[in-house]
Amino acid sequence: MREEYDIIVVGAGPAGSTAARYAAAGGASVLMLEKDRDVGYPVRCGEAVSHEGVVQFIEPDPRWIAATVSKFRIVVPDGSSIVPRLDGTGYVLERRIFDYELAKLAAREGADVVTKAYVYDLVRTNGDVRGVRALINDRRLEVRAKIVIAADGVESRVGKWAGIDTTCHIRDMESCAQMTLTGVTVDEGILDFCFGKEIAPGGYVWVFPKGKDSANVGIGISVERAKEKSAIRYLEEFVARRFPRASVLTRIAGGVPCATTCDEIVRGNVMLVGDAAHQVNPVSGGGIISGMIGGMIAGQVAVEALQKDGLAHLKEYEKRWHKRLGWRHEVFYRVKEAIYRFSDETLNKLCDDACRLPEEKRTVGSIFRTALWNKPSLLLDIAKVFVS
Amino acid sequence: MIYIVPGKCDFCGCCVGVCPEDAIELLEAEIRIIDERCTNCRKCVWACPWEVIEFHREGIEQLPKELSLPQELPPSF
Repeated sequence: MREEYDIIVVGAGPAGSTAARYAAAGGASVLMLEKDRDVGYPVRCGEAVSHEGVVQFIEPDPRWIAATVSKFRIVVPDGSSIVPRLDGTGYVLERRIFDYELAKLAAREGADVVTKAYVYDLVRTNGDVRGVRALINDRRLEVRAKIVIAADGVESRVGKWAGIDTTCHIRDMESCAQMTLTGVTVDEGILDFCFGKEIAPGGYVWVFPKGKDSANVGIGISVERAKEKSAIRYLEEFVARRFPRASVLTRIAGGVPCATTCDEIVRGNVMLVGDAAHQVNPVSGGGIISGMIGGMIAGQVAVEALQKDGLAHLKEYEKRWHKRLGWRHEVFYRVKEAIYRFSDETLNKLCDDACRLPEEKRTVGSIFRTALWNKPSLLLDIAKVFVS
Repeated sequence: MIYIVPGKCDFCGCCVGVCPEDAIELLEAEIRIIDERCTNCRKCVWACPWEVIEFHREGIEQLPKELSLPQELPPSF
């Protein structure tokens, strides 16, 4: 580790490692600091990704794929379900191995990776950010850099220190808990999403298979809609009903910012990526691939700024992100608001209507259209959120 | 005041994500409320997936339930 780098990346999750990888590949000197002793552990994630998302960055490898899935099933409050037609496949990952591989890719491009390195402040000179202060193996150190990329997750503070408001509104924060269960019977190729106010207010329960008899069973609930009972209680109730005989291999808590991207993701020479920037699909809560896309763009733009265009060029990251995914997350956010306004009865009716469609027509789009056709008042609900 | 029940926290950071005052310090396996900044808004209490964070109206004198002493001591005392 040196005293000075072109770029410091704070956090070695998928977004941070991808930012470090692309920045180093472009010729910048890069240091990536991870507060935990391990990259990729503990895993606070449902671990599902699409094939097309992941192959943009890394060739799928059986070592970090726990299950290959080809379908998803939506389970509504009355217990009925629908499996929309879907082209393409997905994976349930072993994130502890996957994240290691992503960090290795960054290291292979020349980035220095240091774990057990907690960043507790920014270094400033005349108000400009000049690096970070970190507790590295219990020693307080100052490391200088021209650009700081904050990939410090849902608990991000680096952005706040740079003057960016990264606080997630409690309406949008999903309070999450997950158990990895074994000794369970699950459909190996299907991702389950279970909805209902009693099961998961303002969110859903997921059952993602991990091999033959194991699964990630998790929950996200809206902090604002579920103040009285915690995520782990809802999850324990679900698991007791659905998997009463399962053994629990892991119990973990988490938070997912299911919001639109932060209004500002660059200020001066500080850039935000991944959960820290709220680069999460607000409907699904999925953030692995979108965080990696954010990381890639940030890494590339940082190099361009250093090599020719100057630090003012960093604003280009904001533009490219919005063009690539940010705008889409804004649309998804409105869809999310519509979905969580549905009553349990409406969800049951939606599923019932969709099941009447011929199987080959059960695409997500046609299910949505059928729902609107059969219950025009839904259109009004959705119109309200789209215009508000 | 906001109180974190010792030994229960999973260090997930959900509370830090909703804290509008940057009043929570989270390390790998350490967490603390920065009292000077905390405004007792309780967003962290609602956000916690694990029921680790509590709000105590009376402040520091009132110990959380988990730490309170038993009402009746055993006869050997």
